[in-house]
Amino acid sequence: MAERLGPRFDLSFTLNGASVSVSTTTATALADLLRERRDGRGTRLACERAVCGACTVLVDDVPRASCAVFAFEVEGSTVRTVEGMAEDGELSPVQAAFADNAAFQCGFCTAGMIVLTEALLARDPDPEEAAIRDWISSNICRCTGYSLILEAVRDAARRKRETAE
Amino acid sequence: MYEVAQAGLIAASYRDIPPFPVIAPASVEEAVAAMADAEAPVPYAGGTDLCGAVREGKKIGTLIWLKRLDELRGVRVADGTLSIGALTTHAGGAGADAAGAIPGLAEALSKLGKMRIRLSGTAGGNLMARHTRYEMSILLTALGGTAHFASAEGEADLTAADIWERAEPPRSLLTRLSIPLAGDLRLDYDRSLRPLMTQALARWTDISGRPQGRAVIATEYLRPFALDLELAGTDAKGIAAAAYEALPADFADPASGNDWLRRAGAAILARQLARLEAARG
Repeated sequence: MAERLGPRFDLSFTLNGASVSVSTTTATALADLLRERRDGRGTRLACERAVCGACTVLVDDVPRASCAVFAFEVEGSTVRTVEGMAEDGELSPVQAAFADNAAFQCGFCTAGMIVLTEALLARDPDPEEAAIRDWISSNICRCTGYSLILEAVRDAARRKRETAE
Repeated sequence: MYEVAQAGLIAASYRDIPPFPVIAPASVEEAVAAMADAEAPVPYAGGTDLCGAVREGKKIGTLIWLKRLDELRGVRVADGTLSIGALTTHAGGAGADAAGAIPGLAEALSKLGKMRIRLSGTAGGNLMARHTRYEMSILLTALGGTAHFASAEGEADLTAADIWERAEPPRSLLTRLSIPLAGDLRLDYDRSLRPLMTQALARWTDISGRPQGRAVIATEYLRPFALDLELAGTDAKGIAAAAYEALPADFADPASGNDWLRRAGAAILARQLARLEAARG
């Protein structure tokens, strides 16, 4: 049977492992919903039309541009943002690889790049160079020329494999 | 052929969208009913384009959210036809075993957009966005396929050219793309000059065993244009040069002149013909 939502509704989902329940509207973008939370400013907004990927988050493990995801779409879903990558106060292997390889300049794209890299390595722990370039070209970096980001992704893959062994 | 856009960016942010009712149908029948009954219905699937479209003037009366319609996902082959469900993501299509029924199709689908887009963007959304730079219209034209629409008034099968003319039934829902599997149908899609131009080439044999071909050229600003090829009796460069004689003199846009499109298009077409010939072994 068809489900219906009015303009304002109650939304429940899991955000970085914690249950969240909020009242919101159907026109609210997930990016805005996340950024309105005090702990949600890691998700950046730039183009606001799903092109640049600065706002990339994982919705049920799929990388999505959260500026182009209506909040109602995540009802019952699991959402991970850059704030949910660290564990026990320790940077994740991907975050650490980005930091150690200086894979950012202004840093505005970094959160989206880290989330995108997490999605890639979850699907392919040992990606070939072509796959890395294919995935990372999903998001736009205006500063680095991508070389340092690509090196960070390679390093992150190595770190995650070593952690798993 | 180039038409100056009549509207540009009219909203600085998606935050100008007023809240709207959402209907999430559980079946195609419910979706068709919702399209018929709802106020100003807008189908919504992968979500990669709607925010941009709204900023360019699209109005949402009621959002018809298609997420629950699993029957519209997947690639299938039956009765000599390959069908791509309208909700099939580009990544899903590229990874589908059934896509192998048309050599080159999976590779073409794997080139659409970037991975983040391919994981969410759908075949139906790509076609119905009606962006000249989007590929599904080009591929469907090359492969001789049609798009199937369902509405409360009935069903209809339309070509990509029909869709550019907005000929689909009012308040209808795109359900699938259908491609008849002509003999040894193969596809080559070349994006090496994107965004200036892309070109799809389909090659098949007719019932008398004669090779047939169709090339489709499109640019950032121009709708796809099909060139029928005469494949028998000459080399790839000759075939390509002959085909491009049929390109209209006004097929040009602010980025690409007609002469350049003819030269580049013919050069790429010759390479595509050689690739398909080599692939056939």
